[in-house]
Amino acid sequence: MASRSNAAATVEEPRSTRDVILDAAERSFAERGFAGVSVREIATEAGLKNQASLYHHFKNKRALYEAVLSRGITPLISVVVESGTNAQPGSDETFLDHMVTYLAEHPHLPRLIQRAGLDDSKYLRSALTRLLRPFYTEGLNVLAAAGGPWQPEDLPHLAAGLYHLIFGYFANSGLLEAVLQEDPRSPEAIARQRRFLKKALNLLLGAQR
Amino acid sequence: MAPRRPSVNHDDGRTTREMILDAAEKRFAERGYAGVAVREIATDAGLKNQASLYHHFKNKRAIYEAVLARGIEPLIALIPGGGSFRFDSDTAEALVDVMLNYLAERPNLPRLIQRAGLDDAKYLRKTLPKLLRPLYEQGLRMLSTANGPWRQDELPHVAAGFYHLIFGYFANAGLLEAVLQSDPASAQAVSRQRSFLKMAARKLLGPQGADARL
Repeated sequence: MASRSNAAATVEEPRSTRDVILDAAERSFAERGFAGVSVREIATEAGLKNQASLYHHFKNKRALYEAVLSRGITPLISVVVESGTNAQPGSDETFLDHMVTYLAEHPHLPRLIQRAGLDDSKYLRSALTRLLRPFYTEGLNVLAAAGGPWQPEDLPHLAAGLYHLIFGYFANSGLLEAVLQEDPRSPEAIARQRRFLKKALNLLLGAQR
Repeated sequence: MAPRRPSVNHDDGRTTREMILDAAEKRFAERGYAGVAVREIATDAGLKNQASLYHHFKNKRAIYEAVLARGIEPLIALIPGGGSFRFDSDTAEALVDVMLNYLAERPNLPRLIQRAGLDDAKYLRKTLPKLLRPLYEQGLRMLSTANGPWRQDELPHVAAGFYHLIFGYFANAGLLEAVLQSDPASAQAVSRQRSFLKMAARKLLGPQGADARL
């Protein structure tokens, strides 16, 4: 699962206009929310001459927003699915490594999801839900197969808990930095967070009573 | 029976100040700092006009800070620590009960904190961390008395983890409801969340076998 940044070692392919627009939109929506951003601002951020070029690629602001969410969340579903098919000891480690790496490389995404979760708009909430549901369903399947001491009715809570443990660290990195008084996104801190998550997951899923 | 508060002038026993803070907490939780007008808070609080509100609070920012302080400061007192206190599975479970009860009674607070955490505005950026820091330090002190599997340098991550486990459930209630397709604030769901958190705390913090110290 090579990230975009280390693909094509010899020739750096220029990012497509669509990707550049999505990058700018992701940043802007993460910082200011759906209502707080205009298409014009995103077009400027993306280095486009005007909004018209943006509308070539995306029907409207909502379509752009959904595309950003989809681009961000869909790869996560594969991460979860793959971790389930390798059901052996140590595979939980790989899943967490992939998740942490992915989230560290896409710093705006957890924040974007957090904002979207707070959003009043039913439409936007439903767009996010549509994308997160498969992620959640796959996660439940993996947890159910992992065994351990949890009852079926605990699993949604465990799944939600793991989501908060994994995403919350990145979504709230600004707040964490101010409270913990160190940069949660430094390589050392992220390495510690990886260790914490792996140990936590082993403890949570372990058979010990 | 609660002692009679000064200047009680409403049927439900709340002071004007409390009514303003209650209204503000709800509005700020729903729309964030920028999305709320003082006029709206005054109306929700049942005040005739904004002038009476300004009797109690200097400006919108003062209301915002007071709402956050009112919500967060009592939490610090809820976390035991110091003296001969020793954190273990039993005290962890008691703490889960206390925190959960507190947050379940204040549905707007976790959401407000989540929004405040996302708020980048320069003038607001310091408010929340300033209030959360004592809570964090108290939590860290408490965790360091636990005879669990964690190294010292991992404790901040453990503390942050518990914050996310406990607050996240309520802060993201809207999202959880849509994805899990059941109301996370229902009595039954909160009860299950309670037992989940207690089991999780036992597993994450309780004394472990020798091979768990990795």
